[in-house]
Amino acid sequence: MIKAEILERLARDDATGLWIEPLLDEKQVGEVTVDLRLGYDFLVSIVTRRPYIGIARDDERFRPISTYFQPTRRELGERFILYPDQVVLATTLEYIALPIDCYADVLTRSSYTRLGIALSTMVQPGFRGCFSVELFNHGNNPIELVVGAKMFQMRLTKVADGLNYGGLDRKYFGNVRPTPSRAADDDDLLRLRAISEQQKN
Amino acid sequence: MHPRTDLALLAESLAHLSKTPYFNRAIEKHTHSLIEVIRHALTVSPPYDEEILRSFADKVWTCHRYLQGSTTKEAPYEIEYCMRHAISDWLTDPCLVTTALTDEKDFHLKPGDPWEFVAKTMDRYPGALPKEKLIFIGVPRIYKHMPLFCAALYHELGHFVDLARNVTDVTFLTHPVNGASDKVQELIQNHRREHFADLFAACYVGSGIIDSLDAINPLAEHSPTHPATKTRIEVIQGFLAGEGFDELTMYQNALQKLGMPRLEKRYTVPAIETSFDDIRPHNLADAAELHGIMAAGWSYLGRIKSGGGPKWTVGGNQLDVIRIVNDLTEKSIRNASIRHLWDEANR
Repeated sequence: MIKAEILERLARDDATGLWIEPLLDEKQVGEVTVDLRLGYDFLVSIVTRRPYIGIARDDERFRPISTYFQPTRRELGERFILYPDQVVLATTLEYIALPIDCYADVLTRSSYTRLGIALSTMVQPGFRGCFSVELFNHGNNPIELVVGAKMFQMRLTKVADGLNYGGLDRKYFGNVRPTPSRAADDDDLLRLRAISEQQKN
Repeated sequence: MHPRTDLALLAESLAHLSKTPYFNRAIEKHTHSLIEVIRHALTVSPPYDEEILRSFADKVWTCHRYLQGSTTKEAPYEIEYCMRHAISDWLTDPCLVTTALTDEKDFHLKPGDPWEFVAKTMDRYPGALPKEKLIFIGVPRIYKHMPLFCAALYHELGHFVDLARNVTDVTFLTHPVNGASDKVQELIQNHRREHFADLFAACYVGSGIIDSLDAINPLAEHSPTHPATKTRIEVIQGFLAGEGFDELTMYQNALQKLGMPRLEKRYTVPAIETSFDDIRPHNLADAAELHGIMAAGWSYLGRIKSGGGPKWTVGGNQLDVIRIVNDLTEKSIRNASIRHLWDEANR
């Protein structure tokens, strides 16, 4: 989508409309992307006594994935240090409601990619929530980030037909703060476990 | 255990706290001042009386809890933001709100007065003391992202304002209880305090305080400390319906005598349905809607509970639904605070 289309979608008030709040500066809407800001809640990965993060719930040593992360909050304008090789889950400052006929690619702005932070993720049409962003510092130096800084950009692509996304059955629905991985909730894991058991017998 | 030992330990812990990365500057100022006063208290000659040190240690201990709470970076900024707006309606002095998450079902909002104590009793301290009053808020940890469940804090703020300005004490000048025993006098005072705090909360969150009372303890009977929930709700309902009644007049007269604002509706219930039905936060127009979202959110939860919720709430896990409604409320408040900060910085 180009700027004129994005602005037109922002003005719509139906399921094909785009809703971004707070959109603090109209200049965030660029020619082909919308700049998005770094949010204020973080989940910082921590080293625990467990040697790895398990995602199989039936493993007796399984512990919730959230226990491998520590939450922390900041105010707008405060700093957050992203250390090398550390996974930090954050969100965009903006809550976004995507049109039912558009998906979004979320990327780091080039200024941040050049610092060693790369993000590339896709968000489904009709999504509601703050976009989840997985920050990883690929460089050698810690990087100081500022809450509210324009770190990301969203590129919107129209799909041929509208989709019926949403509902409480979605894993990450209506999020306003970073959510730990729910990989352990994948239904396939039970079937895969059964296959593994069958092969052992 | 001994005040000097406790003060030394607290000074160590406060110094450690102040080295926490991203320590809030306003809080840092109070922390450094506390450390300086402790240093003075432990070294000054001739020494202060042990009882003064003991009282001071108790006050530092309390401050330490809340200052630490505000540096764990789990602080519920959204609730603090609402409280700051309400506090500014009643207190003209600059205030610093700090929050501790509690592990019990315990909401509170109380003054921290270390500086008043130091100014009065440790008059040989040569340094300047912070001007802001410290206000301590306690929120149950499990409700830190459940702003609707924190509507009870407005009731606690009512107690805070009452105690700060002796509102219910003044009611005894115009409405004395003659001939009653001390025990009965105390009971009446307690009940007047509770009714005042309820009416105060209703000024901000409207029927949200009735929903909160109903959720917390709907069948609570009359006790020496609290009127029965049923009676409390009737008084609030009368106030919200715009009825005039003796008890309300009594409080209004006391407030007038003290030169304080009247008990009146200070909220507007925002029309959140369109936004929340579409799983979007609501754009709050002003401070009146900021407080009013509590009533709107409770009403929205009630609609869902009675089966009249939007499609996305049907057939889902109820806890997920409650969590999302609270999240949308939290984000609505947070977006309002972000816009406020952004606009202020551009002035």
